[in-house]
Amino acid sequence: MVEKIRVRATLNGEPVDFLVAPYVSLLDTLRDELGLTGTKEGCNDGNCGACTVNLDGRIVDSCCVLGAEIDGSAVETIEGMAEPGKLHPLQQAFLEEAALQCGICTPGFLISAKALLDKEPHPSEDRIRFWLAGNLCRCTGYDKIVKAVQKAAESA
Amino acid sequence: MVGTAEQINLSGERLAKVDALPKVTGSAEFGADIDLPGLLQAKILRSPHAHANIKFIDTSAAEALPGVEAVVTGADFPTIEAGGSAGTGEVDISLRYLSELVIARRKVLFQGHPVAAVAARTADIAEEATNLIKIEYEVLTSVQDPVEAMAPGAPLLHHDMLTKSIGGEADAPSNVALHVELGRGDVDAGFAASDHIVEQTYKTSIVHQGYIEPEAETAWYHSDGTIEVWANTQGIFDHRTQLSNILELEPGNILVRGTEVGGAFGAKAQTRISPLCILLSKGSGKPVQIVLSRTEVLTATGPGAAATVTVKIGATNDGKMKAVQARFVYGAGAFPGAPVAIGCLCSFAPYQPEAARIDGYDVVTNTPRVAAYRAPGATVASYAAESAVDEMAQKLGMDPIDFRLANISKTGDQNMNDMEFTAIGIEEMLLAAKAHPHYTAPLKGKNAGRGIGIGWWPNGIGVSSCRMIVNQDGTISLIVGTMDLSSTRTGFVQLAAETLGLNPSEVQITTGDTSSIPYSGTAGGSRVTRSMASAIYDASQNIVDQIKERIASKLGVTPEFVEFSDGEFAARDVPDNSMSFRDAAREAASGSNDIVASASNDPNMRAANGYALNIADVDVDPDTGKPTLTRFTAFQDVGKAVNPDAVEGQIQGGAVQGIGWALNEEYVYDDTGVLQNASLLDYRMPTALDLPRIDCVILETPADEGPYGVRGVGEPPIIPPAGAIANAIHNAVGTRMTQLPMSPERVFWAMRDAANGSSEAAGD
Repeated sequence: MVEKIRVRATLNGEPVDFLVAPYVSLLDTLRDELGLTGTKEGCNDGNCGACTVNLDGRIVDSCCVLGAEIDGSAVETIEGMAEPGKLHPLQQAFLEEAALQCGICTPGFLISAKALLDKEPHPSEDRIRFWLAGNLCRCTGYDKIVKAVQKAAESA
Repeated sequence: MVGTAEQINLSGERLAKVDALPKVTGSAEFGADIDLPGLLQAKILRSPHAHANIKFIDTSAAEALPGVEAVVTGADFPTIEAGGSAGTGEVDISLRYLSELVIARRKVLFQGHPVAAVAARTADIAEEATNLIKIEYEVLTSVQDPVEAMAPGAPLLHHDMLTKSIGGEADAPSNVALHVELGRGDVDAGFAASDHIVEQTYKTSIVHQGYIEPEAETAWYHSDGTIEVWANTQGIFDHRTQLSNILELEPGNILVRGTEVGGAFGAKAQTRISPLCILLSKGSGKPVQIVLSRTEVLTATGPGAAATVTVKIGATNDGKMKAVQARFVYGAGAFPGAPVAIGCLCSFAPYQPEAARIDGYDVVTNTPRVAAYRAPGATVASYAAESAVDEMAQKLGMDPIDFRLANISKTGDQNMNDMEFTAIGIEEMLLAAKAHPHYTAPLKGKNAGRGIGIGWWPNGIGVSSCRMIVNQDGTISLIVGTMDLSSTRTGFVQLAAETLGLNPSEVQITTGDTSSIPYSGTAGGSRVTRSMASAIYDASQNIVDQIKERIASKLGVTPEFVEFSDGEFAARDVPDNSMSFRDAAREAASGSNDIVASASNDPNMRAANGYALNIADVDVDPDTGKPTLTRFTAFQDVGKAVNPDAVEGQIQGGAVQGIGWALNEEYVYDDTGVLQNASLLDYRMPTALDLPRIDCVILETPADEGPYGVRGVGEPPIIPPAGAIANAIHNAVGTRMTQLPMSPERVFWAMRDAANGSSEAAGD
């Protein structure tokens, strides 16, 4: 039995303190150890973006990061995006613009798009398409996702 | 009384999706999110070979590994002899073959064919245990290409499979399961009377639906023999029937609950892993979950069929299509059942050639057994047909839309299967495209071209059921038995609310399980909205009648004098004596809890045609051959857009799947039948960066029969892109692309061949 590693980090603004085996991905840590299943697995090799989370201000595919690596870091997932009773403008725009269908890729898109708007409040359409190229969606054809990000940028 | 269906005018509101809130906050529950006390994880051991006999299996070392709780192999499953349908929707499979697809018995027929499964305390232990299972294989020669599989001397997959055709059954086994024939008139005379003839062979590869959520199913076999199943399936009832048939269990002992479905597109219409979960749960006494990896999804679920199509068209100088001849060879994968008949039917359905002869072959190959993929069979058929039609238009010097218009199918015309087309506005769609600014806009780019393509799909009907309950506060609970793949729940809320005169927020919708709602068929074939609309309409009418009974005395009349229109109950001929639906329903429900109505649609109602058209602009890089889409407009007749946002979403998503199929996506096998690109890095689906905006033009020619005039929406959008883009590339650089995908490499070599004066068709 491999010895587990103690990890202390900030998750969606709250301190967390947990044990995790050294080979477990951040994705599985979030879903299985910490009970946050909003982060989704689509490929487990960094190609679909469904597991995107924000790690110290950068977006990462959480399937390609180890849970033990986040010691001392701040992680934001979809569960931390809305304030109580109030959706983030991006969530609101996705809802109003029908920027989702099956919804499995939606958390990853929202985390990616938020990182873009945090850095660049008024990106061009090309810039949005480039930034979101790491997130695959198979239902929408991306059109309404791009429009929702534009709308959220305008409302900010 | 309730107005007739035709009188109810839907506002076609852009209502926010009722399932959107949990999806934007991460709380929506998908297949892999199910958690249960003591839940075990299971892994599947799969064949590394494309074709082999299993000599022996020894699971003892796996069973001895600490943490392992159950192991199953094919020997633990009942032998199913029945050749009857498993009811898996558009791309059906027999029960026997479904059983052998779920787990191999004496023979493996494709790389990834399940051979054993292990349930353990953790997924890691289960994985480790699968590596401890010893199997000896006798490796056989395999065949992946359906045309090669038809050739004499090809490796034979099933020694008892005889070709079925109109003439009966063949005498000797082969890899051809079925030969279908469609047609009319004298094609030889038609070609003889033609001034021009075009003929070409087109080839496509296996592609995947590419849903982002892998299959994830969970089962709990309880000690009293009852079984609970959680599955990201397209159809809970058919899933249950499949389980009961292949495991020989009482259907009444199985409760199936559908989770949210993270994309399916036809592939999740068939049970794949819950039979393994059930037997592992029976063996361990604990709930068991299997979540497939992306490699398993690509290697061993049910992709879309490859086809090789030869098309010949003859036409006269005045643009009349005299004769069409086509030969379709579809690869079914390991077991028969490729979408041959429907592909053949769709190919030339938009047109009325004077004579036609279409042959289709369903051929087994050592590749994963295909499943439905959005308008199964139609995309490759349309790619070949629309390429050939465009070639002919060019030969005749006619505008491609004018040539199509001269031969278009209209209401009342016969399709190739002698069925009459019900209300069809395909001519109007062509005229709308011709009048659209995109069609005549100047092209952008140095090597730019514009192409069009059209696609037709019959759509389905089947059965859909709902239950409507009047709550004490006068609101409505609506329970449906169909799985939501495409925002259907939102449309149902709109239909119920508008029929009853409520706000959408006064209708709460839930998806039932197999014990809480009457049978509903699998969601597929663009059938759900049309069939459920009828059920919702009937249930609403029933609720209105019950309320009339209860409130008549309040209105001072007997029930037959209570009328309902525009959301108001009123006493006939009594002025100023009316109640809103909400008030009347609250009043009626106050003394009782039993205002409930269930309804199912009439399964004999006719399906409504679906059809779509694309205008595609490409710019081809002469140095790399890369075609870039610069503008794309998708036209589709939906009969009535219940929710235009949802309709546009279906059109855009379907078009982009078609674009991926046209430009990037294909399965690549090595000589031994091992898939070489089983990851989303190498099986490349379009990203936001690869695409222009997908502009939508929604057309509304009401369908015959059934309420609201709605047609199915989901399938048609994927059909026309490949043909439209092939025609655009041809118009841009003068080369006819005869193989999908039209990757930069293929376009580059096609351009090089054309420059060298080679008459060879583009291909590899």
